Amino acid sequence: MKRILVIEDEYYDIENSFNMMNVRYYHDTLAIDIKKTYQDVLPLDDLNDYDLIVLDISLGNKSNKDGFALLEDIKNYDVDLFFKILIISGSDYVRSKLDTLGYEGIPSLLKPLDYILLHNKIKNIL
Amino acid sequence: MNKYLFSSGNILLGLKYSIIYRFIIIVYSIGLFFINDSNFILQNFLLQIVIYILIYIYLLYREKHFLRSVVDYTYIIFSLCNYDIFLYYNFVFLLLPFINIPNHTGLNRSPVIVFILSLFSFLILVFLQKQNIEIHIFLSVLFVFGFFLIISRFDIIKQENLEYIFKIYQEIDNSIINQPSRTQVPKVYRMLISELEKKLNIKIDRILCFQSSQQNIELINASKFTLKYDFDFDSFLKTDRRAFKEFNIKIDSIEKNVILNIEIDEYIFLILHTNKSEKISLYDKAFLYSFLQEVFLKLSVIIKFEFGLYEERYSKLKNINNQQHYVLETMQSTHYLTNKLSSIKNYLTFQVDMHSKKRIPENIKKKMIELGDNELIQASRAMKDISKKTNALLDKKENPFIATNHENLKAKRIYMMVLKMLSHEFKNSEFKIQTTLSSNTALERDFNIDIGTMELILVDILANMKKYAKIEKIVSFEFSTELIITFMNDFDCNESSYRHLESIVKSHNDDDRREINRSHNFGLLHIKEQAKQNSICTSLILDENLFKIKLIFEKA
Repeated sequence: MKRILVIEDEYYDIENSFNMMNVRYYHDTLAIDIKKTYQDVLPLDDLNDYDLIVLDISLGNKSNKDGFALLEDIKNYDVDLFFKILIISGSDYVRSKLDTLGYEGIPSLLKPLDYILLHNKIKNIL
Repeated sequence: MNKYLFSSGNILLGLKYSIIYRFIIIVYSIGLFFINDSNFILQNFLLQIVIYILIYIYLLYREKHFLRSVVDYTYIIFSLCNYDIFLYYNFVFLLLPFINIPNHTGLNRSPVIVFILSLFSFLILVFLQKQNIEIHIFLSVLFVFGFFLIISRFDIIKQENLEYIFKIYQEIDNSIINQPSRTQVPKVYRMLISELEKKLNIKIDRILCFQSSQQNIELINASKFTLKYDFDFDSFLKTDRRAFKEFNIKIDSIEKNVILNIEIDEYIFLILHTNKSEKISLYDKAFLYSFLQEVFLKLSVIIKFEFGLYEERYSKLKNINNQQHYVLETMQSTHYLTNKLSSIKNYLTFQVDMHSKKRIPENIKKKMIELGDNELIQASRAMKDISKKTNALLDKKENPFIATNHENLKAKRIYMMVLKMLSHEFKNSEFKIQTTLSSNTALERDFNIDIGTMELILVDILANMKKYAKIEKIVSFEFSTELIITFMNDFDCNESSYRHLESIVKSHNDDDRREINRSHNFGLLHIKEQAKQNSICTSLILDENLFKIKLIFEKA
């Protein structure tokens, strides 16, 4: 069974997209965990348990750090984790900022999402 | 430049005084010629005047200041040699050079030289007239010359002090002009301290400036950073606080001596001495007081001016802050909307997927339909949230960029407003102004305008002109029952830019908002929106050579 971690503070808006993708393409075999803030993600060792990490860049007010800062921490912890990360965001500017910061290799997906779009993007990672 | 003007002005003023002084000498000598009954021949006297004037002009040209004084005394001796020097009106002639002391030797002013020359001239005249001089008369003459010497000395000190204050004023002005963006008062204090320490050979620790209001007294600036101070203002304000009375103040727990306090309007300036035990002479204090009072008077005006500027800047900052809140709120709302749109998009994808010809196993289809039903509920909820959010965003009351403060502005004021912004935007390039006036009353016609948004419209238009104009920039004003302002500029005349401008003109002049939005010319879109809020009709015109933006103001 493959495990997915979604780090997103407003998961309820995209929950059905993940559930439908799970049912439609993976026979409901994916285990999807949700974490809402940067501090929920710690310790970073736990990230090794997942096959895919979907990270929303903004992460909301309750989070001590945003997605960019989390990426920086992950880079310092284990750069290989970048191979299983997918960034989601509501703004085009995030992609250009990722490129500027040297994260060109990390795929990204622009909201609004749907399950087909999501599947097309993550099938290569899983 | 200022320094040059000042020195040229000083030279001209000195020259003027010098000529007036020689004129007085000549007129006085003519007076004496007619008052005194002597055998001096008129022709000789006139020749003497002519020779005096010629030598004066020659020495003036050669800049021989001291020689000019010697010639003056020679002329006076020649004029008086036939008259009784002990007659008061003749003797007064010898005192005239004292009135010219500030100029008589140019830079090296010395009343002592005048004193010596006057005394010497007096003795020569006594000798020439073969008069006997009694000791008490001689002492009286010495006393009169001495008295004039002292008065002249005071006059010179006063003038030197004025020049010194003027020099300090110039330095203050230079500091303010060179860096007008932030307060220069502490820098001016430091310059003052260094000047005064050099001049009076005393050590000044710092200058503090307090502002007193009905509620309290606050430290508003100082020559050096002052974190903590302890000063008993209650007793300071209650007691007799003559300027020279000394007080104690604690700065960062160290006791210091306030050697001078100067009050100007609501400001109290305190001058602190470095060494508490060292005493400062009354003369130095008197100089400090008279000098600093003049300088602080100027500084208090600067402080008030800076405060006014700061208030204006702060009010602008508050305005920007409101606008920033609105922009941030809009950004967050956009983020919120894209999240909410996910449910709707996902539901639509689900519908398309379920109705496609792809074969989907029944068990999966069943689960998908359950999830789809759930997504439908979520999508309907999202629709409601989206419409609520967009309504809030479009609420004009909340939008700081919407024109709300309309006032009646006269056509001539709008003209001045445009002209001022034009001169600012094109200060390094040429622009033309064309005006058509139907009648003088047209200038007085009122138009209901919100100045804030009007300025934004003009900024957008002028930025557009600057960006696209090659050479020509023309603004035409037509004052009639309406006010029509047309901004015109030439442009790059190639085929593609012409086509591009043509499409802009077409989309802008189209009343369909979707058409304008589609064109992505947000600057022009904003001009149109904001102009509408000010009852200004906008249209774009594309001639063969000129691109025109026309604003038609409707009468209030």
